[in-house]
Amino acid sequence: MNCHDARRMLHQALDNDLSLPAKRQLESHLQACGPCQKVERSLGQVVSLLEQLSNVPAPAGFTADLMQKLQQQQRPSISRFTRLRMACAVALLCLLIVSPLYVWTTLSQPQLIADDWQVIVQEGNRFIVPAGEVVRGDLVIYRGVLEIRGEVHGTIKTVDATIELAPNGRHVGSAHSIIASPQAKLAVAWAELWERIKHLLGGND
Amino acid sequence: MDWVDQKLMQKAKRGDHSAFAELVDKYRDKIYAYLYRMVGNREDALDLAQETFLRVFSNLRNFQVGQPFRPWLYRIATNLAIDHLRRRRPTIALDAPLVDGEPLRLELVEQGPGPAEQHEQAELAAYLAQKVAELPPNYRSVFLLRHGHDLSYQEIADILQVPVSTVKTRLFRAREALRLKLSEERRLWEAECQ
Ligand SMILES: [Zn+2]
Repeated sequence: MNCHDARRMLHQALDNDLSLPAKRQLESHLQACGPCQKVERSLGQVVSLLEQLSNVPAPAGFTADLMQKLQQQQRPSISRFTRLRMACAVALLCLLIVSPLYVWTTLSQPQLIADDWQVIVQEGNRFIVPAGEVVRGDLVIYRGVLEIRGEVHGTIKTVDATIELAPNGRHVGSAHSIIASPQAKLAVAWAELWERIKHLLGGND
Repeated sequence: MDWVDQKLMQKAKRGDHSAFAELVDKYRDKIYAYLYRMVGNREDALDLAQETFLRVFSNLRNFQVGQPFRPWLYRIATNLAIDHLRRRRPTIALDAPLVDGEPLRLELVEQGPGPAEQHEQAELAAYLAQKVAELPPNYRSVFLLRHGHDLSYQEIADILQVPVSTVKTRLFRAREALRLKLSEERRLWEAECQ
């Protein structure tokens, strides 16, 4: 064993990373080698001094300051949570109050639901399919009159409403008249609400 | 595994503030001393030590009971110290393969311990403290964790997210550099031996 090996092994011994035979070899080298003994001593000194350096007490009041900070930190996080819950509650309340109101006002007015609704013109309680226009797809009309001057290709469902076919008007498809039960009215109102929401959300239908 | 720590962490997780305060009392001196040696001044060390425990508290949920507490705590402290040093000045990584006999080059620090501190501590300890402060941070942390705080190779490797072989290399080079500095005045033995 030379001094280089011994020096490496001194480090390993410090970390309990040396086998027993290797330890014996190292010890016999150390007994014969003065310079390596000095290295052993100075390494030991480095380690023990470092242990000394790692004892620096924290300033007085460390724990008390910390616990105070913790309480200050906790408060906003709780209030942020309650604020969020309150916002949710308000939104829910609005929905609960506004949606029946909306349904009720919708029920008192004539309504038309159609795939081709852009073509249809409303005048008071009359929904008019203008002459020369073709409406394709299903139509649902609630209260009022549907006047067909142009053409309608699709099923027409009337709820408390009538269809007036103009001399040049044409309807290709079937027509159903629905008795205006409260459930049917409600269904129409909800369908209308749904259409509005879809429109608001930017549905391109 | 320290069962007292486990019990206290379990209680703290359930919202017991006094259990948490007990943990802080147990480790504040060690963490403060570690951070002081890492960053080199008392105000920053105090701020970082407080921040360490605040992070422990806010991460209580992520701590799994049965997981060793001490390495977890030191990992938080080490990350904070290294971030702090990175913000203060760029660090030099010295993870080049170890060449026998080539001493680790020490970084230059603007401020060593002041004269007042040299008086209050043993002259040699102060000298070593300054030399420790001159080590690159990734060497300094390995060295401090091993000898000042008695963590194992594996624990240090986990804390720093490096392989165990890197821990051993850094430890060897840091110790060797400091030993050489310490015995500089007593003449280098290498000249005679070999
Ligand atoms: Zn020798």
